Amino acid sequence: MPTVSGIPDSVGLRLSVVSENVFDSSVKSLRWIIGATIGGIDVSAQIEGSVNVTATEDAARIASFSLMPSDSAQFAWFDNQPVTIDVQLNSGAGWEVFRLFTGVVENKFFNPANRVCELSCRDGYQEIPASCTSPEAVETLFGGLSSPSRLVLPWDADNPDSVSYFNGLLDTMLGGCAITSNGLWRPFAWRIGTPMASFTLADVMDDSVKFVSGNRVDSPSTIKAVLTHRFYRLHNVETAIYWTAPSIIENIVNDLKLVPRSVVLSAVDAVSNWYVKGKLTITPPPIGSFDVTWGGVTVTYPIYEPDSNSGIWELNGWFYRRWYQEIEAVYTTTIDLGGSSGREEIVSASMAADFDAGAWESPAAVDTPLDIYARNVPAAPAGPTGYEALSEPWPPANGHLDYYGDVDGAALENAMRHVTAKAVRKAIAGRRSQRIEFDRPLDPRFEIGDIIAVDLFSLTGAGQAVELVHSLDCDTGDAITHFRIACPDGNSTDAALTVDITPHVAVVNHSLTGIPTSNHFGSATTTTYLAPPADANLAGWFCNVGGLSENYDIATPVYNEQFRIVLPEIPAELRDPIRVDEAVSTIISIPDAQLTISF
Amino acid sequence: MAITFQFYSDPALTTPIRASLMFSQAVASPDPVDMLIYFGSQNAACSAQASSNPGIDPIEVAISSSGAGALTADVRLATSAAGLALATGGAPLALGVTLAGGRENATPIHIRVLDSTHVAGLFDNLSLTVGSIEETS
Repeated sequence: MPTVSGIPDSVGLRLSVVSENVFDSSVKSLRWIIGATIGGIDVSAQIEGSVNVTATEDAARIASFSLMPSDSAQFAWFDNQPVTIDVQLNSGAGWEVFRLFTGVVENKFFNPANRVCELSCRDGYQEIPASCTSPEAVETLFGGLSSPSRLVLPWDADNPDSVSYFNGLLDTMLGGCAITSNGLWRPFAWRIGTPMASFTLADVMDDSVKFVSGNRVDSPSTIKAVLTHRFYRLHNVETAIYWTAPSIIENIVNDLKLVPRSVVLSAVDAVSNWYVKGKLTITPPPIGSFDVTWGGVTVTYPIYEPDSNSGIWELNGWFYRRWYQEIEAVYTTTIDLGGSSGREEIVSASMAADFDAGAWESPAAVDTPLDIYARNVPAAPAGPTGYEALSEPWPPANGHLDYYGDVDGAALENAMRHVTAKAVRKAIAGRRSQRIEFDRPLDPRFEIGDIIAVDLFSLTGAGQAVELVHSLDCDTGDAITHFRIACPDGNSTDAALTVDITPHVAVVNHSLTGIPTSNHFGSATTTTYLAPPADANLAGWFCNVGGLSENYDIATPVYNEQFRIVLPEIPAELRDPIRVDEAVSTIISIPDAQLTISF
Repeated sequence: MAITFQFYSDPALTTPIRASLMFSQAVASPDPVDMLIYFGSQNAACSAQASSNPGIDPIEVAISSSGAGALTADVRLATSAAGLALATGGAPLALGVTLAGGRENATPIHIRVLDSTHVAGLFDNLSLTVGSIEETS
């Protein structure tokens, strides 16, 4: 492993200790000097005209200024160079320095008539998310204020799009992002807490004060957050089958043959959608001679080994059936914002279990009701439970399993939180479109997200800085900062969201049983042959009394000799896709600017 | 081959810090100013240890002063915002014996400056430094 030694570049700390008077509005004059560097070179003396720096929430900080390049080489060198813009202020008590901008040259415009070059500069707001190579890296940019859910907002590792992922998470952030004047990435919460400063009428330019109400288009009366979760309900039912052949005495009296094993097994194979659980227990007819006395006559009934091997005396076992049902659980929460717009907005997302239900439902490729050995079975491990060959998961017998695939309870809650956070952000963003704007002499102390209180004319309250525009005109000497602060009506100091989701729980009852199997004798006298029930309710061994039997009756119905197995149908409510609606409990806090307007 | 561990302006370790960080303080009754930067490497395949005694000594961020002016004791460092209240002014910050590369391993460094000199002026004498490190990839 190669090893290299070195010392990382240091980071300078500039400490500007300034007089409180520099931002005191009672001081009637303020001198200022721009200090700009490009690529570490001081270009302050070359600056012409105005310098403008605009910082906005969830956007890049941009700066523009004009300067006269010393030569064509310098003009060419400007491309992509790092830029810092400082301002030195003097209110009579020494020069104090503040940073206004840290970024790079974005592009340049050159006017050959006056040889002035205008530079547009930008910080790295777009580049930082774009350069992230993992979802975790993107998520760190939000300082824990976003609500990631890979199920709803997936990260495609094969074709990563970190910008889309960033924007998707930003839609869930109860706060904003910006890059500071020092060039540092800064996520911040939406809140109205203790203000950093409070401005009165004496601090601002009279004509600049504006109150802007929230946009109607941004303020629906209700916002619904809807998460649709599609998953599979896996059903499993079992039903026993038990059948015994006619007894020896019935065989003698009715002139019957032994029941052929092949006929019964063919019937087992012919059952559709149902499968044998494990192995059937097939008891062959006993080998030997059996003396039966009937009507005072003793008859010997022999059963030889070949007859035993091909016959069946008793059938015992279980049939199972499993199937899936598509379930759509719709979780909804409604944020009531009031207002008069009467418009409802819906934020929705869906997710589905990653599961091949069709393959799950199919039986095992090898599924025979017979064991390999008929007798003298070699020693073997513990007997099978019957489901080993089936793909998991295995719902309980006569029960169901709501299978979410790769979704667990925490992931479901994260998904709902993601969707709800999007709705809440929309709601709070609508409220935050209520703003106060004002200008005051250059004041570079604040960053986007800082809290500022005002008491201007009849406006009182506090807000969070969403836009700061510093304008410095080298020709006129004007140096102004334009403030735009968001002043939402709310119910708290912080934007917050609590989501409590209870996963859908189904109550499913399975009580499916087949038609009991028995023996049915055709061509029999009415004393032996009972009145036939409905055909559908007949199952078991169907045979006919032999012509030598005293029970033989040529006039009664004659069966096709067969073995029938009748298993239950699955009712539609347990088979067809269903939709269930679930309410989600949410608690939402919106920062309150405590804004009052009096006339 | 140069070392890749640097100070960065963002947790995704995208933008190395090139310019000095400006802390403004009111002269008479200053409020503390906090900033957050990151130390790490974009290269997930590398790790770093202190050259002084690799695997034993921690990698430390020190507050260095090149002369008179601001006081190192007015600067506190911590790896969490809550840790700033407990940090000792001027004390170096241990980041760990071995630092792993990669964006997910970016180490946050919270900086708090609170001037105690109450002397107006612009002071450039302080910086954050890291001693020699060995970077293995």
